[in-house]
Parts: sequence; C-alpha cells; structure tokens
Amino acid sequence: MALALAKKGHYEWEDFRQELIASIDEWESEHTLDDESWDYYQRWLIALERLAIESELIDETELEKRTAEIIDCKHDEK
Amino acid sequence: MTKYDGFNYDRDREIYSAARVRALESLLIEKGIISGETVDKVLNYFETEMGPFNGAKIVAKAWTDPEFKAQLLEDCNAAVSNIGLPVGMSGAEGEHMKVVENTAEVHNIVICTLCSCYPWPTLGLPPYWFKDPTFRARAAREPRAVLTEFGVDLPESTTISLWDSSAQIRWFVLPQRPEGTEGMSEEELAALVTPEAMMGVALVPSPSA
Repeated sequence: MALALAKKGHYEWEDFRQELIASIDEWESEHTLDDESWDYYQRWLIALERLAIESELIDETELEKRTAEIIDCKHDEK
Repeated sequence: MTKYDGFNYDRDREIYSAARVRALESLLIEKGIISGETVDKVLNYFETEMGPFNGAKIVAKAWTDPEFKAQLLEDCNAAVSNIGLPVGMSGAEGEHMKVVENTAEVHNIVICTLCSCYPWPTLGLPPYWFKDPTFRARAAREPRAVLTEFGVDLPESTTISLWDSSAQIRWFVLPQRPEGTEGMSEEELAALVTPEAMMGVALVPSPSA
C-alpha cells in the first residue's frame, strides 16, 4: 500500500523513510531498547498514517471512525 | 510451552493494528487513490520478482566471472542491469546499491542504524531482527560479539567493517567463496548463498563440511 502510493506519485519514498525514522526514534527515546512492547509494524503503520494525513489523502477523523467501525464489526461477529 | 519473548505482542493491539490497516486501505480504495489490484500487483512483485534469489545469482556470477566481479564492485547497478534480473523498482530501496567484498582480512556487515533500509531487489524484504532496536544498536557498538551470537567466529586479525544503509546507498555483501566449490556451476553456487551471508552475519559454508 505504501509503495503503491509512492509509485502513483502521492509522495516521495524518501518522505516515507523520514516518517519511519521519526516514528522509530520517538519510540526509542521513550523506551529502553529491549522493551518488549517494540513492534516495528506499529511504527511503520504510524509513519504511513501520518504521511497519508499530511499528504491530504485521508483525514484523521475518518480514519479513527473507520477503524472503530471495523473493530466493532469484528466484535459483533464473535 | 516455550515462549519466545520477541513476539510477545498484546492481542488487543494486534487486532487494533489490523483494523487500522484495513481502515486505511478501504478509505484509499474508496477515494480511488489506489486500487486493490495495485496493492496485489506490488505484493506479487515482491513474492515472485524480488528476493534473495537475485542476490544469490549475483554472488555466484561474481565468484565465477572476474570481469563481472570487478564491474559489480565498481558499479553494482550497472553490472546488475546486464544480467537479466528484474529492474529495481524506482523509488523503492534498490536504486543505489553497493557491494562490499569479504576477504580473509576484512569482514563486512550491513546494518541500518536509523530504520530498516535494505536492498530489496537483491535480498527481498528484511527479516524482523534486522529492524530490532537492540540489534541495530548492538551491531554498531559490538559487531564482533553480535557475529559470535550468529555463529560467526572470526580470527582476531580480521577487521570488521560496518556499512550503514541509508536512502542514498543500500549495501550488500559479497561473501567469500567457500573451499570445496571448485568446478561447481553458477546454479549450484547460488544455492549455497543465504540472505544472512549477503548481510554479513553468516559465512557461506563449504558444501563438503
């Protein structure tokens, strides 16, 4: 998804890389390096979300709303 | 039951992350920004076209063809463009690759201290440990100790060189050709080369060993 957006010219791949470095750096400055809560894909997803929002592809409110809908829907299925 | 702490993730967080990915994807598709087919195409490309099998072919060719090896060390992208491998996806981690050669004197390790830069077209996507904060910090600070943990014991006299991949340059390692491989074909040699060897955290074992 991240690559598809870069390929379509919505942002430069380097922009994504900088977001990723920033989100990893944030975690590392708040945790010890061997903290078990480390999750690379979470940092990665944060970087992608921020870039999609900054590039005005989506807005944060609709992302939060859709996420909540998907989670609720999953809970209903149980 | 043995528990591997490295993957001890919170179940709720996993559900939440998966939901967020789906939310993001569905919004982008709904808005016509990307299509499901584009995403599938990219995924398919990674599964079939890009991977460590490309790197292994390059290494095997360099072992058997001195002229190719010289060009590879001089200008990796130019050398690789001539041997029928898929063209690196523009804008996606493969544009500026450089190769460093392991010798009896120097052993090279490739890391990315800031994030997870990696030469995708030749090595595929990086393994999880490559992106681990502890690995990234320790490989830079105490490479010899980290190598020992990977099972690579080098003589004290061997110099260890670290190469930090970045947006400008993605490094990969040309490992030493093992003994006992004289007369092997490129295909046979390529089968011996692992991604770890091309990252410098393993040696290519001799087939007779």
